[in-house]
Parts: sequence; C-alpha cells; structure tokens
Amino acid sequence: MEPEQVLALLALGLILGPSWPNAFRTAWLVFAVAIVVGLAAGFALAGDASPGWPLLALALAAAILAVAAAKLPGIVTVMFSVGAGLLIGIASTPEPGPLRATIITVAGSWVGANLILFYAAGGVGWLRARFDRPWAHVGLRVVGSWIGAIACLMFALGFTS
Amino acid sequence: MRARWEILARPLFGAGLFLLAAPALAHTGDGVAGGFLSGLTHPIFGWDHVLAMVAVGLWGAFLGSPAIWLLPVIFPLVMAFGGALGVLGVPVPAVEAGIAASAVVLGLLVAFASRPPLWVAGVIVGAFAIFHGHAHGTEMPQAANAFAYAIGFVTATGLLHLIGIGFGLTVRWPAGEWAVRAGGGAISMVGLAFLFSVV
Repeated sequence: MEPEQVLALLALGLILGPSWPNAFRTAWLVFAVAIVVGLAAGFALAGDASPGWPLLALALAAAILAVAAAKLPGIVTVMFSVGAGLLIGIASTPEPGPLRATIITVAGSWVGANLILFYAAGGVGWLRARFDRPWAHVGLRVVGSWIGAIACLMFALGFTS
Repeated sequence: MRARWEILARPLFGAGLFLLAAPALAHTGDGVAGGFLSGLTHPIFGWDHVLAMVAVGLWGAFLGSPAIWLLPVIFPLVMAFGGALGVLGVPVPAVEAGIAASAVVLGLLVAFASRPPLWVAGVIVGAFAIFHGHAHGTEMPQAANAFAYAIGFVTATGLLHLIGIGFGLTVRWPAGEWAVRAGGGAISMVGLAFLFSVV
C-alpha cells in the first residue's frame, strides 16, 4: 500500500470516526463496494491511471474537515468514501500476471484497505467515546492538521519529482 | 571522596569523547530513514525557525483555550502550504526577513501579554507560517523520501510547538507568567538580531 493511500484512509477515518458505529456502517459499505468498482476500472484502464495526487487532494480535504471538526452531513462522508474507494481501487490494480496471483493480490488490497479504515475510524470513535475530554478532541484535530500538512507537502513534491 | 569523583569522572569523560566525535554523516537524505531524519532535523537546525515555532506554542498557551490548540493546528497546515509554494518554485518576497520578523513579532506579543481576537491571532500565525514553510520547501533535499521527509518535518514542528506550550502552561502561576513574558522578550531580541543580519 502506497503512502498516499494510507494518508487518505487515515484522513477518511478521522471524518468517519465521529459517526461510529451507526452511520459509519453505511459509509464503510459504500467504501468497500467502491474499491471493487475502482479495481475493475483499474483493470479497464490497464494501469494508465495515476491516482496519486487525487488521493493526496482527498486526504488534504478530509484532514481540513477533521480539523474544523464540523458535523458533516451523511452525504458528504459517503461521497468521500466513494472517492477514496474508487481511487484506492484504481491505485491497487496489480500488474498483469497469472490469474491466481492477481486474485490474491486484489483480495489482499481490498482486505488491507478495509482493515485500515475500520481501525482508523474505530480508533477515533473509541477515543471519543472513552475519553470525552477536550484533550481528546484537540488531539484528533492536531492529528488531522499533521495528516493535512504531510499530504500538502507530498502533493508539491509529487509535482516536482 | 576521591572514589566518588572517579565514579563521576569516568562517565563524564566518556560523554566528553562522545561529544567530541565527528559525525559520520552516513545519512544524506536517501531512503525512508534518511528522509525522516532529514525532515526531522531541518526545522531544528535554524534558530530563527526554532524560536518562532516555540513562540507560537508560548503564545497559544498564554492565550489559553481554544488558541492553545488552534495556533499549533493552523501553523503546520499553512506552513505546509508555504512549503508547497517553495517546492514548486513560486516566489515569495523577503522570506528570511519574514522569518526573523516572525520571531520579533511573536516574541513581542508574548512579552506584552497581547490578547487579540482569536481570528487575528490565527491570521498573524498563518501569515508567518508561509515564510517558514517556503524556506523549508526551497531547501528541501531532492533525494529525500517525500513521505518520510514530510512526517519528520511535521513531527519536528509539532514538537517545537509542544515545547513552547509546555513552558507556556506555567502562566497559571505569577512567577511563571513573568518567566513566559521574559522568554517572549528574549525571543524577540534574538529575532531582532536575525532581522538585522538579513536586512
């Protein structure tokens, strides 16, 4: 999994975490389906697509929303889930090879991305429920600002390299 | 007495040798570890940067909640934007003077216990963050692993803010408030020296 994908998943976890566990289920389901669609699109595009910078842009936008700690409508979190799922699916498309190896790689990418999102959002939800203190909310905002800053720097470095 | 001195002398001698040793400089910014170290050390090796970032933490602690967390959240985000401008080669005028001025202004704001509205504090900190980010972005090593470099860079910035916040939290005691204000004055004086050297 590439750093851009991890950043996008962590940022998505930050904005989905507050809705843990009820509304998160819908967004997670949408995300899981969107990855499959993204993988299919990746095979159709035959590796021509490069979703690195859109993933960083998505991570930056989600991180800014996490910093703002605004109460997001369900449609916004679902749209972020769709975008992240599609882009991560496209980015996870393996090189052409034997069918068995391709299936294992695709399944591993799908499981890995879902697990990272589950633990990121679940961790945020657990932290907010377990420690309903100002420092917990401040900590999550600081993490959001750091993820946003890293995404922003990588975005610029990606353009120059 | 002599035995006690010997007990102390041996580790001190060892530590002295350690300090005298020349660095191997094996990490040139390549790879993940090199990129992280390069990013982590980059903000720390410029005293004007260090002073300004500590001053942000000090001022945030001085202003209290929500500035205590808002300013250190604004700074890295806007600094990264300035860094992006530097990496992309977008010119920003008087970067070094802006960095030195940030230490002067932020130090004075702490020294005079200035409490402007929150949005004004955010704009001041954000404006100076552009200069800091631009300087770092311009000097960023091309060989560095981008992800590791960015993590190290942001972590170092956050830790410097944390040092300022930690010191700034002593404002709850009268002696602490005077110490923090004196610290702000000292930062301002050093910043002034930097400003005269670059203008």
